[in-house]
Order: sequence, then structure tokens, then C-alpha cells
Amino acid sequence: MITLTSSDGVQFDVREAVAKESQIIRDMIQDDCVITNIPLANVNHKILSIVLEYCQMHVDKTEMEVNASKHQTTTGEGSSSVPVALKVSSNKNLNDWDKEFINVDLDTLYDLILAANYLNISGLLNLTTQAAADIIKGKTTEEIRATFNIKNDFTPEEEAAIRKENPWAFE
Amino acid sequence: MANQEEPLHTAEQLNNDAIKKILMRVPATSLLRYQLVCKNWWAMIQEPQFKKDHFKLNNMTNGPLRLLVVKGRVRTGVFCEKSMPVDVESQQRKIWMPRVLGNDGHFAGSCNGLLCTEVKGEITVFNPITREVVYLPKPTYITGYGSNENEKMYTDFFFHSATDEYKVLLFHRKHPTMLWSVNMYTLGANSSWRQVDEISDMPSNSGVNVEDTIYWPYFSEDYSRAIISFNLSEEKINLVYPPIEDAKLVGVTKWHGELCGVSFQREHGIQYGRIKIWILDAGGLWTMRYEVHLQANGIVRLLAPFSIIMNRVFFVISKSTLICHDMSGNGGDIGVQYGYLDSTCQIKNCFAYVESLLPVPK
Repeated sequence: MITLTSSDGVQFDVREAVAKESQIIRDMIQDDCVITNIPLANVNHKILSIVLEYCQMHVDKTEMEVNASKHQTTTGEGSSSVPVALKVSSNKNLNDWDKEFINVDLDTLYDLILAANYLNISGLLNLTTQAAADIIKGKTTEEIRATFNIKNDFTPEEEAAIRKENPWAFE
Repeated sequence: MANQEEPLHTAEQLNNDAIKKILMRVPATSLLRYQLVCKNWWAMIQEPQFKKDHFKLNNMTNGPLRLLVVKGRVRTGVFCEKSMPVDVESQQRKIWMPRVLGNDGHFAGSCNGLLCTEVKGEITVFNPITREVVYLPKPTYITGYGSNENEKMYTDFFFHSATDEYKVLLFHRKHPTMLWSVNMYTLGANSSWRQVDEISDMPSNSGVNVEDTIYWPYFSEDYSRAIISFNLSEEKINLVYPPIEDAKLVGVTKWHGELCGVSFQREHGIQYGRIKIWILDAGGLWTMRYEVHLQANGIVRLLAPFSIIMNRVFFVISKSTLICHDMSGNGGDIGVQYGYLDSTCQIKNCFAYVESLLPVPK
């Protein structure tokens, strides 16, 4: 077991495999194998608990698959089609689960992106950045600025110059 | 240290790294618009490395789109659609082109989001998203394409990953009694056309790039169907692979990174046909890897080349019908009828395409 401490001081006890979904924690454990308590300065407890829920789910699913393939090798070639089907269905379930998991408000989504980026959890980073990309895809520049709380720092002349380069993009 | 009382209000604190990772997953067309969001975003989208990473990720995760080359007197054009056919008409859009293809134009190829066309010996490479265009100089040996009936040419367009260069290959024959010259043009500064080889015939169908070697189906001198190759580094044409035994090789394609030969046979009458996909084994023999049975209401035929996009193989089986077959086993065939195609036009080709912001080397 490993204890992860959030930026606001809440402790989470998790299995090593779950914590190791994060590349930076994986590196820390590798460098120092007796480490048991890791403080995470950039993730608060609310976000950390969501992140850990994701890691837990993905570790469980992977372990289930490994067990299924072990089952396959011990039972011989005759039943090889069964674990494949199982794998397909478990991938499908996991995708459905991910879809449900990522159905959060924008602020939480941004926090999750930052946490996934900081902790370097590639699956979660792919999932969250794709969700954000899907949200902003069809939006106008004004809507984007509102969504991300960004100020337009172009002068009207600069803006006109960029529009002139690719006028068809703004039609 | 983060503030312990307040939760992070991150909308304004998403760092550049995170924003970049989101923008990588946004389509190229939207990115053109998003340059106007703020100076920071503009600078990020302009970065050459960002454009490369954006292409790489979209090529891998979102899956290529498909380009349909439709040729006819009334409607000639290149159309882009998702590789999974749902409602074709509504998701299809016309691809922007710097030159009208017209009756004599050919679509030569698609790589890294760049496209190549040839109209009467004039070859153009362009990015339809950024509308950046390079017009290649017309080779001097092209006498007057169109006026000389004996003159023939064939163009193909590839990316040479070892050198990071785009190359246009032009097969040209002045007269039926002469050999075909194989000419190459590398895009970039100080380039010119140069002849790299000679050959007795042109490829019989589109080529495919497998690890910097191009393969084309080919009729060899004894009229048997074979494959020729052109290694982009060695710059020599080789007659490489023997014909597939007892099957008519109609084309080549790539599946899971391997060269595939595709054969077509009609069977049990005109309505049925069988397509086989072959892969070369280590001993240089063809092994059948996949088989698709086709059935048509009229006469089943394989009209145009086909391509494999992700795990879906596309066959054009009549002027206006494309079959999409899922080779991963998750679904059957889906036939797409292109209702807008009138009797004067037909699907000529089908290419994989990924929208990108990559520049056209000048």
C-alpha cells in the first residue's frame, strides 16, 4: 500500500499498482523502493479521488484480462475464442465506463487535465484532452475565449492580417 | 504550493502544455480559426513541431478520412468523407483544389495531408486546408500533352520518411515504340526533374508505400501480372514479386504495415465475385490472408482500385457503389450507393487522407 497526500492534506491509501498508473509515481517508486508516502502538491483531494477512481478501474480491468489470458493458456488451444470475446467485451465496457466517467463539468475537466498532465497518466490525459477537444471543436473564437476565459490580445490590425491569410477558414 | 482553501480555478490556469495537448486533438480546419483566439494560441499553432505532432496524433487516433476521386463530364472532383459510411451525402464535402481536374486531370496521391494532381502534364502539390500550393515546373520532354495521342503519362506522389522529403514520380512515354522514362521530382529548394530509370510499361494501378519502397501492380513483358518496386533511397525500379498463382492480381495495398496483393475472381455467374488479400511470407511466396465475397444486383466487377483504411477495405464494385468491408470481424459489409453519380461519372479512386496543417516544401 502507498499513501498519497493531496495538496489540501487529505491522505489516500491505494495499492501500489493503482498508484503506478502515474508515470511520475512509477519513477519515484523505482528510484526509492521503500517510499510509502507521496505528497502531491498540485492535486487537491476532490480531483485526486476522481483520478484514483480512474486508475483503480483501469488496473482492475487489466488484471481481469491478464487472468483471462492465463486461463486461456492453461485450458489449451480449444477455447481460444472465448477469452478474445471476453477481451472485446471488456474493452467495450471500459470505453463505456470512460465515457460515463468523463461526463463532468468544465472546471472539473480542466482540473483533471492538469492532474493527468502533472501525474503523467497517459490514458487519463488522452481521455480528458479528447473530451475537451470535442467540446471546443465546433465553437467560434469568441465562444472559445469565453470557455477558456481568455482575453483577446490582438490589435484589430493583427486580427485582420491573420484573417486575410486564411479567409476561407472564417467564412 | 497551491492554495489550500480554494479549489483551483483552472479555466485560466490551464498551462500551455495542457492547452497544446487539447489542440492536438482538434481538427486542422478548426485550428486555422483558433489562431485568432489569442497570441499565445496563434504562436502554438504556428510551431512546425506542433503541426507535425498534430498530424501524427490525428493519423493514429482519429483514423484517416477517405477521399473519393469522382470523374465525369458533369461532375469531376475529389470528395472527402469519414471512413465509416453512415449518411454519405450529408457528411461529404468537396475538397478544395488549386486547379480544376476537368476531363484530362488525374489525382496522383495523398500523403501527410498533402495532395497531388496532374492536369495535362502540369503537376501541383497542395494542402487543401491551408491552401498552400506548389506548382511543379512542367518537364521539358512533355511535348504537348493532349495534342499528341501517343504520349502517355502516369503520376504518383509519396513521402520519403528517411529524408523527410516529398517525391513525385512521373512515368512518361512519348511514343508506343519507346520505353517509359521514370522521372522524379523532390519537393524543396533547388529541385528539378531528373530521370531515374526506364521501364517497358507503366504501373497498371495505384502504388503503395511500404517503408520507403513503392510497389505497383504491373504487366510484365510476357503479359503476366507482377509487381514492380522502387526504393526511394536507391532510386531504381525492380521487378520484384511473382504473380499470385491461380489468381488475377489487380492491385496492391497495405495492411498492418505489410505489402498486400489483391486478386479478384468472378465465380458462380456474373453476380458473384471473390476478392483475396495476399501477404508475402518470408520465403517470398504469397499467402492468402483474407477473403471477401461480393455480390451485386447486376454484374459484379472490380472497377477501381481500393484501399485499406484502418481495418476497413474499400472496393468499388460498380460505377456508383462502394463496398466497405470490416476486416477486424466486428461487422459485415456495408455497401454505399452514391446516388448523385449520374451515368457520365464514376468513382475512379479511393485514398486515405488525414487533414493536416503541414506545409508544402517550396
